[in-house]
Amino acid sequence: MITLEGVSKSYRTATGYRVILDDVSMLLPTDRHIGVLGRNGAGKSTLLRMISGEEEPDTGKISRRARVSWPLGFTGGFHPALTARENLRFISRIYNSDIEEVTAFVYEFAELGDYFDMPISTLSSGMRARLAFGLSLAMRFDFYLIDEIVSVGDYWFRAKAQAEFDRIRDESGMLLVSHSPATIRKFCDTGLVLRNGRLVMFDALEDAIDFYLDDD
Amino acid sequence: MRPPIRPETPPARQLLSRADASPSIITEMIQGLAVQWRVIVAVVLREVRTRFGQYHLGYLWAVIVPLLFIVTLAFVYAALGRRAAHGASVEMLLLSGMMAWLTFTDTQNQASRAYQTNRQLVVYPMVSVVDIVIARSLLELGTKLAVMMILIALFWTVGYDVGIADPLGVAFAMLVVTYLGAVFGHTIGCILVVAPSFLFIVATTRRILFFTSGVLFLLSDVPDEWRVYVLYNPLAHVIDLTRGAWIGTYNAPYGDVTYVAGWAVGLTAAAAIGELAARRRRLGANR
Repeated sequence: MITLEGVSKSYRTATGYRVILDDVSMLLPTDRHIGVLGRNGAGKSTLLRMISGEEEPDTGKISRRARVSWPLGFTGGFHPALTARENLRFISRIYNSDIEEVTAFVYEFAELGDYFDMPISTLSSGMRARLAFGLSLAMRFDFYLIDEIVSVGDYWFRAKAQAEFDRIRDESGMLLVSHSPATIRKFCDTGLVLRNGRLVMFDALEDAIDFYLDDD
Repeated sequence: MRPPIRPETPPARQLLSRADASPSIITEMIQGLAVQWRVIVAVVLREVRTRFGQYHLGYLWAVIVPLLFIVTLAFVYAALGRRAAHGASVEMLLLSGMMAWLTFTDTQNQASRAYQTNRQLVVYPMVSVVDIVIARSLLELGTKLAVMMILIALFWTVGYDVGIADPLGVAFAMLVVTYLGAVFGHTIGCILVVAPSFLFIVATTRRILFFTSGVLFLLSDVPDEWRVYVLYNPLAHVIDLTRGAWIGTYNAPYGDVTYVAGWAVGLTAAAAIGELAARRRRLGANR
């Protein structure tokens, strides 16, 4: 369960403040597949970063009672001077995961070969993306945060990634941000619409999509 | 291949009833401390790799830097015909002063840059900047104690006796300079989040602190009318106390423990206020 209590967030712009959330209180169930809908610039990604804990709300509090992932595919959490293996060790330690198991899984999944023992700064962006994705799978989070589904890697890697993605969908909850109702329909069962600083939850996904498309 | 077994998951908390409200707060605190300790250990292990990892010779630099400084100054002092007093050798004075000073300044530097050099860690909600500061300070203290022993052994091998009379006293003094460096450094780090140009003031302050700290002289060599000013520097007190413990025949007449404790308390308060002010700024909050 993730709890939002009186959460407000805005950004300073040239003409004043752009409000992302305006005093929002809500319980987010971490065993559901929640699709977040909102217009470009409504603040969907900011909402995701706040839920992950990467960004603080201006006022209010967000508490997490589950193992919540960092935004999936995010590759900025690695130390550039350390090798992939060393980064995995560190992240396993802070999340209290078994270092050997995580390392073995990610080594096989990410297909970095020799680059597994090279500093992160020498890896291509595709390699980093595969590493980050494999790591988020290995961490076995209760709740995955996903900011738009992007595919990385070649055909074979994508097939493998798809299979793993289906597996975490079965085993964990997720919060999927997308501006495409089709993507949300494919992966989610619950809808959350972000509009004008408010967050509205719909138990029936179609109601959420109707409400989102109704914005004029 | 199957991914690893899910580690123990914090149970989704049932809605709090009045009856279990207070034990759960204590349980949460203990869990919180366990997580913090785990994070600190992980950061220490990571810092061991990154502190000197990218340089040739790696960790040897931790020994080379103070050694070069002491050897250079010992030559200068010998050329000037300076001698130490109170039965201590020039090498002993320089080594004791330099180890205390370097522990302070390196810890301060590491603490001030804790956030700047670990920005990528903000994505992991359990890692706070304070954890990084604690981890770096512990590592710095451990490194300096090891370096100190290596240097004593090194000097002893070439025929200089720079042994410590009161090891516990020196260890305590090192703990104190590490603490001062950590809280002073963290305060600076918090100010730098808001005002990066503060860096120039820090550089000047460090220089003043160094030249008035007594690394290069004994406080008793300073004329009375100037010593008054030198003794405003808490490091002058700690270095005097370090020498008092290090050198059996020197009794540290100027080191005032109460004065140092006052600074420690004041800087702790400053670091706490700084942390509260900088925390939300670091995590991108407007207010």
